[in-house]
Amino acid sequence: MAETPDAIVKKEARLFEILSSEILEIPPEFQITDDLFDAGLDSMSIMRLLIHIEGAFGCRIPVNQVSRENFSTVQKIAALIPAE
Amino acid sequence: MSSPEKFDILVVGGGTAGIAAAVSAARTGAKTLLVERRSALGGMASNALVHTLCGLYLLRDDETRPLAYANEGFPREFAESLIAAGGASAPVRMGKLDVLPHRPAALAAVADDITRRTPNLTVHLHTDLTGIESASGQIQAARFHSRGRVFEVEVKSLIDASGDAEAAALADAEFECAPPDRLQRPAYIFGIGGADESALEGDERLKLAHLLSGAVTSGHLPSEALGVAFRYGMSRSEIWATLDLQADPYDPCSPECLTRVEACGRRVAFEIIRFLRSHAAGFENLRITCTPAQVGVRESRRVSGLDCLTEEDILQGRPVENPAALACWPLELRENAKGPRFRFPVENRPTGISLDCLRSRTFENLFVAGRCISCTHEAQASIRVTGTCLATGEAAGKAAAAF
Repeated sequence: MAETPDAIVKKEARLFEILSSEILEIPPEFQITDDLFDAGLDSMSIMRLLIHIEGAFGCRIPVNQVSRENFSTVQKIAALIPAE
Repeated sequence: MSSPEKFDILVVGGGTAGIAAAVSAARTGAKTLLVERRSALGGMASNALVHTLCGLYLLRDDETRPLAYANEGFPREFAESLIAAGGASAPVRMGKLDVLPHRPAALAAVADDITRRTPNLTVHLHTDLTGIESASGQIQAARFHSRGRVFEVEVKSLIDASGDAEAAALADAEFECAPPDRLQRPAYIFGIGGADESALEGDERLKLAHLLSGAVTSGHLPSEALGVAFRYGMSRSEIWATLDLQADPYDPCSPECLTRVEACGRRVAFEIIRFLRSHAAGFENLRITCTPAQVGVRESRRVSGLDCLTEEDILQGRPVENPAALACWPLELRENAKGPRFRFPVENRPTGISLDCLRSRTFENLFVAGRCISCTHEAQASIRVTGTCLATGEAAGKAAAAF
């Protein structure tokens, strides 16, 4: 079943919350389409992000989906997380 | 004990600030003694295996702007000597910053060479400062211990380039230190070799992060492994691993804490390498090529000076009249795992550091250079980098010689 727009927004909001509270110092005006690497995301913070995603969403993003492109924005990372 | 030898200037600590201070002072004709407790000059940039010189160049908006040294003089001379000796390649752009990658052992050798060729300068390695004598608001003498021998020197002025404000602390000069939970975290840096040369290229670095995070989740690696990051050295056959440690409760001036941190760094480094060798493609022949003489300390005590550089000074790129040195590294606070967060100054402007930030407010002949100059905890996250340490060292050396 396709994910509803509401479910996607909710997932993105939760991911944004994890990123800003646990992973990065994100400026208040930051958007879910803004570049996370510009905001300081790096390999070290991705390690911690993957663990937080696993804890919050109960899924592990497979290694073949890990790329700079796929992790460049909140929106793109959220798209890697399956619907609950 | 023989009668104390007299020196015009004593420099405590042979890191980049101490090298710059001692050479700059001695070049004015001042009889100078540089004392270092370890076996190599270079401080964190050799002993802790910090492998990029940061803060050498002015910030620039993009790569089309010309690259310029923030501080001409000794910082430039030292960087160019390092490049000429093959110990550094050429500046590279990392994100919005320009840095000079170098080989730590080569930096120590270049420092040996520059100091050996400097008249009026004596260098003592393997020598610990044990005490300071002062009277009437002036430092008078210092005591040392080296391999079962104690000796004393009389000095006209002293430059504390120890990083930990050791001389200031022993002299009972005023200093500050951030609370343990806010101090910037230490890093255990080690060199590795034997990996495929493409091991960190493109998305491979992120896939490695995926593998390591999975290993922590499954219990194959301890949680400290989440602090590791890999980067190529001057060639693709050299890789540096930087392991940021939380080290709680952290106190960089406590032997108990340092012992725990060093042991933790060593243990986790070997565990990471053992894991990668058996689980990561391209890492089957991985080996540790060098370990640091000590963990990389980013922050500890700061000398209380006549002036105090602040976070706002850095963020506004505030100029001062006749700056002793220019700070041009953004605020890079590494207080916890939620970092590093870079905060850049307005219009990428450099900040003037006044000579009064390099002068103790307790003793008029006590100068300070390097990461323990007079500044706030936040501003320290800019001025602690090697390029700025070289610049404050040169300024302190000249000022102490003129005192």
